[in-house]
Amino acid sequence: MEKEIEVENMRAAFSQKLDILKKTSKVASCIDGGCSDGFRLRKETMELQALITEQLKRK
Amino acid sequence: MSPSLSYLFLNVTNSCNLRCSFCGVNAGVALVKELTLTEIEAVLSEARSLGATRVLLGGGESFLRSDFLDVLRLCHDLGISSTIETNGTLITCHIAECLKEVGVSEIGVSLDGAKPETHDRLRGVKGCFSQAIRGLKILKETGLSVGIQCLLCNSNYSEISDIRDIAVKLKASFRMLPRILPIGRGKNVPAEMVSVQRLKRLLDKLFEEERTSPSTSFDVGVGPALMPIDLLNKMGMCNLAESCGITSDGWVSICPLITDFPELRSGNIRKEALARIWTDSPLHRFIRELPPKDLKGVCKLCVANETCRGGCRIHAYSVYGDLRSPDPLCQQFYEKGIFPEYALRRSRP
Repeated sequence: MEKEIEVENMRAAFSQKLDILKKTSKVASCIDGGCSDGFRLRKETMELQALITEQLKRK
Repeated sequence: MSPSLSYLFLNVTNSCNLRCSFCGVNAGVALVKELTLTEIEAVLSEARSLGATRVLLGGGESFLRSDFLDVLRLCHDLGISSTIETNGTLITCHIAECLKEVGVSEIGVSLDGAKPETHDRLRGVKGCFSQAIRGLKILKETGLSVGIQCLLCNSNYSEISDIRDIAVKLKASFRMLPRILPIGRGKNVPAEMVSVQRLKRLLDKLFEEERTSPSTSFDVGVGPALMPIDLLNKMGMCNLAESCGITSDGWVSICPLITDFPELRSGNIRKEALARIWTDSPLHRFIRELPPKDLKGVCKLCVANETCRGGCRIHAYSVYGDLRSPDPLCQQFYEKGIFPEYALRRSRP
């Protein structure tokens, strides 16, 4: 039972993070051992997330 | 109205000065009739009008094209942000200055070993490690944004942490691709494929290192379900619903890595307008409209399938022969019983 609750809590946390990811990240790339633009976009995603967190704190 | 195209993968040449044992496009010699600068200008312009704001330029080795800087200028003039993938061996101070001038967004340099002998052996040319490191330093000294990318295999398994350290020291982004795709020359090196259990051990180690000493940007190329929740925001994904790839001889597909799969060609820009291929071809329509619930295997059961949409479709196709196949890594983790339980839906079909 305890294990089930733990899995359920993690599922909720995972889904919440996925929602943020869907809203903030657009496209990255992946090809021949490398990804470049994804780096920048991830930086943007992190900046956006920081912004959202900051806004939530203010509220 | 055409569906939005936001990202273009464009291979500008198949010519390459290295001979990587795992190259997915068999790079080496230029294709018989590669796109001219005029043709590239036309396709970039058309992509821009369809909404594209970003292009990833790769090859082969892009800097072997004598007019490559002109390609970058075209991107700049059209308002398309360009990113380059390179082996770094041909970077000079002059080239770096030009890259800065045309506002290249980022330059990803491949580094497949932390030791010169490992990198040189995997990439088939002695001395290419020191050339790549020199190129990276020049790019950094010029003030450009740089990434280091590596492809995991058994030969460099024990050096991945050190490659990440090089990225941290250079303040470069770090990216690891966890699988050699079984396409192009990648088919010939099955012994280099890292087992799922060893990959899991390495991932756990890298995650821990990233928590204690974060890199500028960190991506290990696995789907969201295989990322720890606290590092989820660091991952990247291909959004195939809004991107397409073009080979150096003009074939359009979901990605340029289609050398082995002529059936995945959606058209050729020499015969048809990109807009028409992008809008009407059954392939792009299929990818755009593919409901995540129609993915197969573990992807059908996964909470994250609407986010990653099954991950790299070329990887899935190359392993299972079906564009609805599951992400091969996630599927292998699931089959070995190490796929996280919390990423699976509560009610499963």
